Amino acid sequence: MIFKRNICIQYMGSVLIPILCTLINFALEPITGRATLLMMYLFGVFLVASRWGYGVSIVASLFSALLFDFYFTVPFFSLWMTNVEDFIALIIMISVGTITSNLLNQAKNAHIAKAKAEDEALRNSLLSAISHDLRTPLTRVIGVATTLMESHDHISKAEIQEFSHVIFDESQRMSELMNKILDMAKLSTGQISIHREWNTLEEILGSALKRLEKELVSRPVNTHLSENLPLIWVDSVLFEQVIVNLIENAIKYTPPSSPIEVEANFSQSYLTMTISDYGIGIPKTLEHKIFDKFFRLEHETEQNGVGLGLSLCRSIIEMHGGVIQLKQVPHKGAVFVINLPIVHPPAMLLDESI
Amino acid sequence: MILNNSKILLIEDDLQTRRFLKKNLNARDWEVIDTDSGTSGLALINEAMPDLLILDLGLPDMDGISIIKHLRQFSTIPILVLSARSLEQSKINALDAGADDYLTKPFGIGELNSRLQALMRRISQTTVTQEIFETGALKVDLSKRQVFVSQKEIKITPTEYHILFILIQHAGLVVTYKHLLKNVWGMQHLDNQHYLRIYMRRLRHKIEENPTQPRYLLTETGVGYRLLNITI
Repeated sequence: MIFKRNICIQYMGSVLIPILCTLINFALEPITGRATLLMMYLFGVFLVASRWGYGVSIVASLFSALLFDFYFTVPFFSLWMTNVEDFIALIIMISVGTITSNLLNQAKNAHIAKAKAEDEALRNSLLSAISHDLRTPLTRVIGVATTLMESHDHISKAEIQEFSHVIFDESQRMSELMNKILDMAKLSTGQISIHREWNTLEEILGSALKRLEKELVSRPVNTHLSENLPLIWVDSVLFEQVIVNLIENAIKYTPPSSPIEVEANFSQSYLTMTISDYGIGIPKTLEHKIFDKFFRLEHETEQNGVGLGLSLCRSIIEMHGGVIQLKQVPHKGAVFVINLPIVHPPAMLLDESI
Repeated sequence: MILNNSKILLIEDDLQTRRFLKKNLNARDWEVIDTDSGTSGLALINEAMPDLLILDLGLPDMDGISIIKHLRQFSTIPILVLSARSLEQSKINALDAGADDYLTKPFGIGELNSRLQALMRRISQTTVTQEIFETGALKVDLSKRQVFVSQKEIKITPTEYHILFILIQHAGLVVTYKHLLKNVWGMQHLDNQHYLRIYMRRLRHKIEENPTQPRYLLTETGVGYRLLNITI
């Protein structure tokens, strides 16, 4: 039904636009020459072609020719033509209209094909990521569980403990991975609506560090937040995820006791947060790639993860009108800088002195 | 204080989750009765008279929020809600409907145990008025309105005290932003979340050793605050 209605609209457009051009041409005729009138019709044909494609534009092109012939060539108000010049002009108009529409159409198709290929590439990398990163822990869980089920007479208490830990750790890993994949899917299909509220960076950072407590036991996190940081107008859940992802990255790619630094300060219009580690860092040449979905550095194939963390960070920061960048700082490893525009909160009734 | 060995009603539709929860809670001396549906759960509240309810929000037969609303018409039983991650709004809705706390799946049994204990502590406190509240190095004398950190008295303003007092009343449990705003500033200020953020920051600077890594005044991102109770 909808499909048919669309076609109806397209063909009505291919007739109405040349008629509209004719009306404009009536107004233009006294002040301009034949060429302008033809150009007007060509313009109409391109409009139809760019909007509805090649097939419909041919109808518009032929109909324009008829209208031009009928109203603007001698003898007027007839489909006859006595002037050879008019005839040639008309043929040129139809040819140019057809060829250009065809080109437009090809460009459009190429664009669609490219988008399709990108989708396909994304889908493939998602599938391979899932199959590798979910299968490995799953295989371990199944293996260990089978051992527990089948050879429970021969295993010691210590082994039972150890096996249970394997099941627990691997399940946790799968759970985290699942969450990231779901987040990405939700973000890219526009399912996440952003829920902005006034927040303090301090609080969001605190809650992110709390979430990573277990991973951070042996590792110092130094925080330097400048005093009186302004409130930020962000979705706290999403923003916390950004901080968690960045710190998780630092944990993954640096030795166990290597420190992580979080700094924040502000200028007139921006709040700047920097998260840095002391690992080997990321080469400058890859600066643009690391925020792509499923991009992973070569040496990290044995690490867990699917390469979604940074891409999620970028999507979230951009949703907030901010920018996330990698910075090269001497003596430091990976340094991520987030710039968030400052929005001023409504005034506050201070009912007591501070 | 006897906290465990109370009777828990567990409403959860997944058989394996139910089995593992029951086994682990039994091992920690809780008595557990369980069911897989909202309808039979509501019936069991009257029949079995449990002390606590653990409710999974995603039941097949009834919406979790309507179970809570229905229950709250006749019962004050503490409710702990189990919910999936990244659904802050459903947690808030459950708390607004009358649930007392929530736990996000997947969770560890230790975490569940301490939430249940916090809930039990809360109902036992409503009868005995407590004079001193203590958690870690934080001590609050509720009769004299004095706050101490590592035995040193801290000066705090009436509004800061009010926030702290509400969190103490719910020690160990989550308190929504809405609840705090309503009780400290009044209904007309429900949208002024920035009030709460600023006061909370000040309170943390006074009480916490490191305000960016708080030990007591914890944030439940997108939902509310929780005062960590490490008394026992």
